[in-house]
Amino acid sequence: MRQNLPDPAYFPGRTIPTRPDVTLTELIDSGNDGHVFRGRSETLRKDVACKLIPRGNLQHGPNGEELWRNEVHKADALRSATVVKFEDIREWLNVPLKDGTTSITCIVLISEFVEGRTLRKFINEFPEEISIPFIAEWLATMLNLFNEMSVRGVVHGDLHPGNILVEDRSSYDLLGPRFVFRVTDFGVAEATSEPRFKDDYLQLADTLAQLLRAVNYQACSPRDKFVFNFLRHNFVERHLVESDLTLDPIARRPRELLTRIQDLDLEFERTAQETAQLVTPFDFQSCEQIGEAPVLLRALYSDRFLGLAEIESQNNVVLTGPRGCGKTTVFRSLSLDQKMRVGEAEPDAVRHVGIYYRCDDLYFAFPRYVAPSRGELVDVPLHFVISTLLARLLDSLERWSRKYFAEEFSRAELRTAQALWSALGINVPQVPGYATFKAIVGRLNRERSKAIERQRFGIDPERKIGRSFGPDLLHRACEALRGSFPFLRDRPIYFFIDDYSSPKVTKALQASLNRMFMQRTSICFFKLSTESPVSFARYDIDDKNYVENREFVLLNLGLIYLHSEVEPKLTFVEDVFRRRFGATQFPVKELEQLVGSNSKQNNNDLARQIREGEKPPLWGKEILGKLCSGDIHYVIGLVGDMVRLSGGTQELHGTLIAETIQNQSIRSAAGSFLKNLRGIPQCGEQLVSIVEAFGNTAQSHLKFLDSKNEKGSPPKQATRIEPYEMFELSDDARALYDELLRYSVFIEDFRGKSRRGNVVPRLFLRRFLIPHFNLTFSTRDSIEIEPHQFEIFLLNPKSFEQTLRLKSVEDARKYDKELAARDSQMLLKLAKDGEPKN
Amino acid sequence: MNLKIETPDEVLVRLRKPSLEPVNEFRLQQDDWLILCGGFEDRALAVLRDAISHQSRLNVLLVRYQPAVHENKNDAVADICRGANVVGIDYDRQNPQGFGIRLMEILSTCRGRVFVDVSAMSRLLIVQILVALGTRQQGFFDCTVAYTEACEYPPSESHANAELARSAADPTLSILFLSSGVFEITILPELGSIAPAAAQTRLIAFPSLDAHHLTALQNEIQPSRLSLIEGIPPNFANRWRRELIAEINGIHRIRDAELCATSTLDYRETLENLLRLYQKYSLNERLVVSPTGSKMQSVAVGIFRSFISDVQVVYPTPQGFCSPDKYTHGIGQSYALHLDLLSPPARGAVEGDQQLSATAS
Repeated sequence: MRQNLPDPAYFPGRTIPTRPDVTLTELIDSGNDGHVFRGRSETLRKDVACKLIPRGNLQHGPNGEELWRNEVHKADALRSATVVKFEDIREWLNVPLKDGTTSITCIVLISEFVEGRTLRKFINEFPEEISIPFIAEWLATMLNLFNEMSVRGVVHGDLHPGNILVEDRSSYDLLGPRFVFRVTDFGVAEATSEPRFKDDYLQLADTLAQLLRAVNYQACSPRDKFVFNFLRHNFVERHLVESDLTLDPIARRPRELLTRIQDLDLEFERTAQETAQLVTPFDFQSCEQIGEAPVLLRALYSDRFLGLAEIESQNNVVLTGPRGCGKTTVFRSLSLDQKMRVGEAEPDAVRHVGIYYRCDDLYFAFPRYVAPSRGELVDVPLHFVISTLLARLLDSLERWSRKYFAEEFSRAELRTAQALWSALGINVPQVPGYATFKAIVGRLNRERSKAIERQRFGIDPERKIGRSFGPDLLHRACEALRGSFPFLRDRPIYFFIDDYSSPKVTKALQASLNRMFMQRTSICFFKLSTESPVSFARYDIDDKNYVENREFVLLNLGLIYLHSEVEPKLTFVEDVFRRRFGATQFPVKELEQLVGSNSKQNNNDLARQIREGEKPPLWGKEILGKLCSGDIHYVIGLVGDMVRLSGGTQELHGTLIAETIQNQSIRSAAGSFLKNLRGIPQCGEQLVSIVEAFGNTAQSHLKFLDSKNEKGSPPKQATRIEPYEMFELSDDARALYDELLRYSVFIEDFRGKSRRGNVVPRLFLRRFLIPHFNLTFSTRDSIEIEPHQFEIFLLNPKSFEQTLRLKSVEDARKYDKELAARDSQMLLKLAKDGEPKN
Repeated sequence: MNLKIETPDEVLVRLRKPSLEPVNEFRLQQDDWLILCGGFEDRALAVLRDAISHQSRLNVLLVRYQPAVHENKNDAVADICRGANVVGIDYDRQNPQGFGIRLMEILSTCRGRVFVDVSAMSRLLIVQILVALGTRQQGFFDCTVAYTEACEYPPSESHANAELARSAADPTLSILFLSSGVFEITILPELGSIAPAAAQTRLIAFPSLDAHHLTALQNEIQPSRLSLIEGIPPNFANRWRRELIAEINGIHRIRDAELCATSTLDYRETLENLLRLYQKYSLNERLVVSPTGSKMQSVAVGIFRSFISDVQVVYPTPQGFCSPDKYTHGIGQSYALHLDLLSPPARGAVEGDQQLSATAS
């Protein structure tokens, strides 16, 4: 057939003899049957597409009937705007062939001219634009068209990526979408003299397969991976290729297939259903272990959590506390995603839009981050984080809005998406469906990857670094959202940034990101959780210092629990267990039914027993409250150990766990903690030595010293160490100090003053470790030391212990005397300093 | 019409995996390159000695560990390779980022085959080298892994039992046979995943003789889910080691850990398990793999990661090492693993075959 074609070079610049208003201007494409030209109609003042087919290449009946005409008019029956219809059919006589000696008659099929590319060219030229949202949009358009074709009994017959166009309307359309899919050449295949009718559905499956092969599967988000697999397994391999409806009831039924495409989000949510099941009340002790199990998380989440009100009410919050204290549980529970998954996202119940982000993601993307020497790299981490947070925000917001504010969302999506593209300042992708949240999310996910690449190869000066998002972009995007959606006006956006802790998220990385996280605006706020007060950088790369209670509020859950009365702590602990017992077939429903109550146990009595050389039995629910420094997961594990040592659930029979077993579990759990502490990279052994030095010293003080100014002179019960004055530490000692706080071996408290009236940090031993050293839970006394001794305590704990550990009553007397002498010297000094000069 | 769509894991599942072949000698050509480490174990230079005995003029890429260990055999390599072209490359085990790129720059002139002797290599280095080779345009074409077993693998059963008893008496004590503690959890951008990850993390790790590895990984990564691949030594007489490692790491006490066991020698079992875990969990979880198992299990991780880029590799870099005399002794059987079957031409051939058969059918 191709050899029958006239030379395409003959046509440009010529006018169609039978349509003198149309002049062919350029060749667009050539196929087996004919050529396609762009033409210009002077009458219509617009461009048209002119498909020239030699008459001999078209089907005729035995008597010369023009059978082809019926075929090419098929599309006239369709009303879909996706279809490119032939507007006019003309003849062109005496068209010379290439040999120059013969001439033929051509038929000219005239249709509107579609600006853009064929899908085939698009895949080749812009493979990076072939994303899952793009494919879903394309497939939905095709199925919508197939539905009308099915209703009107029309088939295409040659549907392939060369007959599908990606139309660019951006030059003229201000209201509608700027890019759409169009389908051309209806009936042309059947109209030619060598009919090659191809099944439309098989062709659709083939094109879908081509598109899916162009996707970088491994760079896709979990949702996109799900859709990818869904499309290939259900559409390419089944619905589009199966012709037997008894084998696949929705095969080739476009309406049903379109519904499946539209329900993909729901389908994804369904498959992501949790598999985690609580078998015993002691499974999944921390939120990390619970993982993606929203219903379980809801069941185990206690709103008796101390500090919850402050987290919700304060603006920019830095939340800290020992591992396993529930920071993650609270953050995740307050996120919109979690609320949606457990059916608690009714608009009346949603006071804020919460987005949860765990910094593991940051840790893996920017390991060992140091401030870059190359200026263009400075904002790369911001680019990454903004892309991630905004993508999550848009994703959550779309799902929530579609459920509760469907009309408002649909009305405003296009306009909002355009505003967001404008705020992002990146080139709008030239694809249909670009003005949707899904397209923006897809692009933001690519921006994440770009940021990682820039970071990885940025050291190469030859490599160009593109522009990165600045610190104010997220705020501007949130403003755009608030401006578009009325339902956001009274709902601030909270970003819950979990585990924002050095050294995983290095201080240099925090200094870069703090430019955004420490901003205060009226629309979005950042709630950061960090392992300890020292794992958070209070500055940024512009040397701006962030001041507590000015730029942020520091909420230390360790301190809240430390200074709390027993009652609220116990209420929380009991509520946690009540929920866990209730979520399983556990034989008891209340903690007290398992471990009993021992409310009369008091610290001074305990101390006297310890001084007598005893290890008084620790048991009862009150002890569990006292042991808790917020680290509820230890308490859960501890009770689990008690049950295990009692012979397991089946052995409980409604009786309390024996006091001896409770006591044994409590004392050995601390040993396991210390064993794990040894495994801490680089300094584990030293941390254990430090805490042992303190514990042994405190134990000796309990044994040989009495508490001052206390009625009845009870034994001294020190569970904290306290310098007289503020101290300076060497870098090595500072590093150890920070690690002690990071792993919450001690909990730092700046409240209160030292004996000499100075504001100093007091380090409280983690409550869980107290039984290991045979101490009491009193918070009254402290081991007081000179500032220089703090350095020794950290760097040479054995020496510290040798100096301060008392071995006899004589030692204790000597220690008391020295203390008294030091105190009187200090009093003299203070008096002297206080005398008026001259 | 070609309706076949395969994800990279499916390609790897489909490919025929070469087997580890016992060999008595390594015959290299002049244009070939041998990559090795001058470690302190007896077996470190076995492949090199054999290769040089047949062909003295080959190319040797000597990876020098930093910080250096006195007992390493770097000088011995120079002695053995008098006629060979020896190129040295430093490997800072405390900062190994970008090693693969530097390695590929050196190998860019290679016109022959590449042999990687993993016998004395760190596990992370094995993964880095295999990922660098596997992700080149030609992939694993003309690449061979060489491996030599040792005769003895400390600790002895009696020593191990004595240590276990000591630890049982004092729960705060740790047992350390080979390395001593963890320097840090090393994360390399080149072994990272760029995909937006699922919210839940699954750590896939190989329990080892140093329980600190697993402890540090769990502490730092804080995974929601844990899959542990235990090692089964090929020699029946060493099977007790599996129980020893399980006991040291307390793996039967870890709640909800998914356990499986694979040969420490036949890497295919590990590769199959990694692929199984990937296909089962990667959609809803961020997969983090730590190659803390045997050398050949680490080879499996390297091959796996060279195909599957949306998993994260992390590694607990040891703080230090015990005395070299506590490591393996003697030189045992050598093996060769020819990776050509996993190279792009092979992948293409299989794909081509399938397309042909699809067309024919």
